[in-house]
Amino acid sequence: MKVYVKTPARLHLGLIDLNGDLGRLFGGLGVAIDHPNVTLETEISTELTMTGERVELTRKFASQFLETNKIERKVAINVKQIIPSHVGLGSGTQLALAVATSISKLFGVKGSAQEFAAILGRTAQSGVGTAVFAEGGLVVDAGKNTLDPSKKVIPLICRLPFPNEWRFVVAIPDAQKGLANEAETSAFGKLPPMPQSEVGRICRLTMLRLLPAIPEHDIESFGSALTEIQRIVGDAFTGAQGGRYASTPAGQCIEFMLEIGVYGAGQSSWGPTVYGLVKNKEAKEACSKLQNFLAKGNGGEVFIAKANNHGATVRKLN
Amino acid sequence: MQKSNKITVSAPAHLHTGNFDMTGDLGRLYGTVGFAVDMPLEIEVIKAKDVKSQDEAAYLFASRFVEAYNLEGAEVVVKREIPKFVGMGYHTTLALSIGSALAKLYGLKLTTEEIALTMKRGAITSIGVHAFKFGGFIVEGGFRVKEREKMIPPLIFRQDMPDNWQFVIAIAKEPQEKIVKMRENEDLILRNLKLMPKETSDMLSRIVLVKIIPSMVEGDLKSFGEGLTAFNSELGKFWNEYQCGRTYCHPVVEEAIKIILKRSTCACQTSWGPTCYGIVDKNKEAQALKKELEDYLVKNGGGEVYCTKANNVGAVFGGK
Repeated sequence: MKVYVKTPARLHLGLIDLNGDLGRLFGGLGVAIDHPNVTLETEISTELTMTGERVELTRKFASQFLETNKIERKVAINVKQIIPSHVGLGSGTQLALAVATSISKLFGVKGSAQEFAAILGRTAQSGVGTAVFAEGGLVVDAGKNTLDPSKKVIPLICRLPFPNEWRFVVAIPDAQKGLANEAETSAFGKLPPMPQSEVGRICRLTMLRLLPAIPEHDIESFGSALTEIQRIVGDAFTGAQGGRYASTPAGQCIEFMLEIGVYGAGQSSWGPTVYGLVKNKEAKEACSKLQNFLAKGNGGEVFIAKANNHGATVRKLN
Repeated sequence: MQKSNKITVSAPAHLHTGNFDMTGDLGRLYGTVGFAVDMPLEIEVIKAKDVKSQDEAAYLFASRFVEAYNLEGAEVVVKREIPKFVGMGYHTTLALSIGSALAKLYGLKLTTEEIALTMKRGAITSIGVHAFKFGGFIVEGGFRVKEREKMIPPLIFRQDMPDNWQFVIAIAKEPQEKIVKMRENEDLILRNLKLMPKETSDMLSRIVLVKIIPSMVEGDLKSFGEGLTAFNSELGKFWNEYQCGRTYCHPVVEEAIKIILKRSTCACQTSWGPTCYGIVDKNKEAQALKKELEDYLVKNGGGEVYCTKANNVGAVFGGK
């Protein structure tokens, strides 16, 4: 028997609390998009065998998961598709959870995506990627509990189905890749606390604009809140990334998208991936305009994505 | 299947913690945090040729609904009440119970939100609407300023309350008359309310999003209660011109809040009061707090104290 897993990718929409004096740090907003994807197939094998893409990292996740669960048998994993790494689409967490989930199905390991993510060390900063894998949609995590370090799992506080008629135009401009792993942790560590007033503004934009706009399918309100949150958070990261956005091309893409009238725009995580929010009937035009814009500069990839509202697909194949 | 002629409804009371945006510059107003509690209203609604009820409010709501949808009529029997005019949502719950029962009896396909709009309840704060639908701990996102009283604020967060968390609810008698009188002008007060400074709405939104909701998700009663108390007392300061400059509606309630805080990190006044409540997670603690509040109220104008769990299911229908 083989187990097949296909994951969504993750767009990070912003951080909630970069001050932390209420006992919570970060807290993230994110959305699951239908592609790019990690797809892999896992079966029981006599040897630990990795084929396809990103074999080293896949092997590391597989060994760690087998070992933690005291499983002595081995698996063969074929990674057929991956999400580009270190561009801000959450590739590492999706691959880790795809590996863990496929192995858990083969050996009947019980556990939630949150628990699997904790085993594989994917919960240090954010619970967004895990929630995207588990359920899809628009997700909000609560951030790290700074008063009780024994609480290792970052809980999900909100999950809403993202409107089906909305699209993201996603661009990965050719630019320096974003921060990851140790560099990311160290950059977070160096941030000065955001003033309470700015954190409060982000929270109110989230509670009064971003979240109510989802059930009401109000793209203007959602988009304007998104853009403003992105600006506040981007400015806070100026010290770590050299500007409001991680690279000049990323910043230019965002400004360009806002000029052509997307409802909201921002950078995903440390970039360089950026995105604009549009309605489905406007997506093709926005996409081609953005392609032309990038072609005139350093180039890059542009695609249209819609939300994934169900999370990863997991299937047993005979 | 034969259509039934009688429906019973059991629907939970609710408690308000407060509103996080009284500024409105982002296009929405209020946004409310609250709970459904296991103190049910119970009514019986029977198809009839015209509208009948021994309860004045029930008669009014049934008439409003019958007229709006051009129905024959119904008799409403209120079998068990929620304490009235004390901030526990008696009228909203009664209106929704009657409307939902009538919709079922007459085969009308209506959402609870549509019923609430017809009844003219729940459009400013919709804790009562979501308490009726689902129960639990509820956060709603306020109404769009341009659609005031034309829409029901949407649910943005809801969770079942843990079974062992108990509300101790004190309803002091002394302030009631004054509050009933003030509530006659509630619409006027709300229409002419001063705007909250943006910074206060920012801060209140942050307490809800970063403290109250995450603590609820983690089941951390201490932190949850701290968040609720901070949120509610900050709002008390905003409303203080209607409370003679006080954070809570009356000195008796101020004292009751202090008594609650000795045993619970949560001590809040609901709505205009005088009802105030704490939440504790041990039965012994709940009983001790109930006794202390009873002893205090007996000597200070009287009142009732209840000990109850949350309601995590919302309204339940029955009958044939």
